[in-house]
Amino acid sequence: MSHAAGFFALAGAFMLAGHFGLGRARWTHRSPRLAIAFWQALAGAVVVSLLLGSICLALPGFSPVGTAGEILHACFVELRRQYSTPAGAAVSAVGFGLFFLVMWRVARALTRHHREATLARRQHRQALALVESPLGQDVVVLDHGSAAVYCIPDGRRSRRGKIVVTRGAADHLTARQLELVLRHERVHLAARHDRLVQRSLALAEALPLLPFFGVAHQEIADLAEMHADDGIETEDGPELASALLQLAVMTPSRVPSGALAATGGATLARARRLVRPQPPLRRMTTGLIVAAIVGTGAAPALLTAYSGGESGFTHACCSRPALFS
Amino acid sequence: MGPLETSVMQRLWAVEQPQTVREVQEFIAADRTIAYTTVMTVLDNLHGKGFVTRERQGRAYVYSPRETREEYTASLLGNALADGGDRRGVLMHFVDRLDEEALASLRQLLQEPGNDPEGVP
Repeated sequence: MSHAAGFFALAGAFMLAGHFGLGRARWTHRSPRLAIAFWQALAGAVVVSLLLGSICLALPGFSPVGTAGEILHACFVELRRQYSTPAGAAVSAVGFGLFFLVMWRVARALTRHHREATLARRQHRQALALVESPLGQDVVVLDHGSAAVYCIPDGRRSRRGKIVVTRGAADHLTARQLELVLRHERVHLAARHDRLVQRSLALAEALPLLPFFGVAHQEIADLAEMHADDGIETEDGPELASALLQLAVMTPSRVPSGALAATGGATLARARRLVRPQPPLRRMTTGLIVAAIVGTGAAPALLTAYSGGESGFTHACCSRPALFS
Repeated sequence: MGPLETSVMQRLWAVEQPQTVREVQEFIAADRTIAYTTVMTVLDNLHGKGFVTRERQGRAYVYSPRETREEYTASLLGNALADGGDRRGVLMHFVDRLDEEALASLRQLLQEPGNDPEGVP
């Protein structure tokens, strides 16, 4: 029971750290790449801690540290012990229920989003084939007056894709601006930002009761844009910011006005760092952040090792004989 | 949408009048050898997918595109923009449309970069 509490406390602490710490930190805009890694580490550690906590609730003496035989034996012994009292049985059932609920919802959301995105992209590529005209190796022009630039990632393992530019966008940008915008899109493709965003969205939808995952998704989506902006040279920043304004003015409306404010703030933050570039993080700061990311990722494993060492199966099976009789 | 279907649609969009299978086949045959029955199958598929409409004229069907090229492009772009954008991770857009207030702030930021109230020094 206390181990379960430990894992749940860890998950809670990470969620608070993300929500109120990383979500409000100022350095994230100076190194979007590190910030994305941090959000991913936090989200992963929270999910793993929740799962381990549920297992500990179901099987109090359980520890993933051990051989398969030990685990099986422990499961059997533990289950018999747990179910020997009504309260134990109830707690155990809640633990199992929680474990499978989280597993099932997360797995379902991940596969659903992956499937839907793959299908939507294939349909879009096919529909595009009728009217696109090639502009470069990976760029096509769509003959339409309104302005839009977007990319369609290829698929599972590829780091390539197709960039679509409307005639309206091509007409209203200078050659230099268009080149910079294309570079932004190529970073999206090379870094597989689509996959990052898809996964964080899947987690947010799978666990809607935990607002942390919603915040993580928003942040990762916004940071991905900034990371893509970092694909250009610093002195080209103002030029890319002008392209941002040029296209934002001309992009046809596609979201209800209520949703505009959220993206407006993120776009402004992007423009701000393009116009007035901030110095990169100092090496010392970067080192500390990397250490924090590694620590976050390793924390659930460390807690497992700690609880495993303290009360392993020997302890659970042999040291409390009174419970079995 | 295969390359053959694309060629057929290009032909239908390029001409004013509805086309018979024979007319489409002769047009494509200028570039490559293609059987009459192949074109017939392609047109039948396109009809099934809702890309073209057909009318009986004598013993044969004549085909015309359901939407003009412009209409088709507009609805394609509309779909691309309506998917929720970057936040769903399907397509990654360069920029979203902004409301008037955000646009004004963005304009001001670009004109006087030093005068931004929220800027970090």
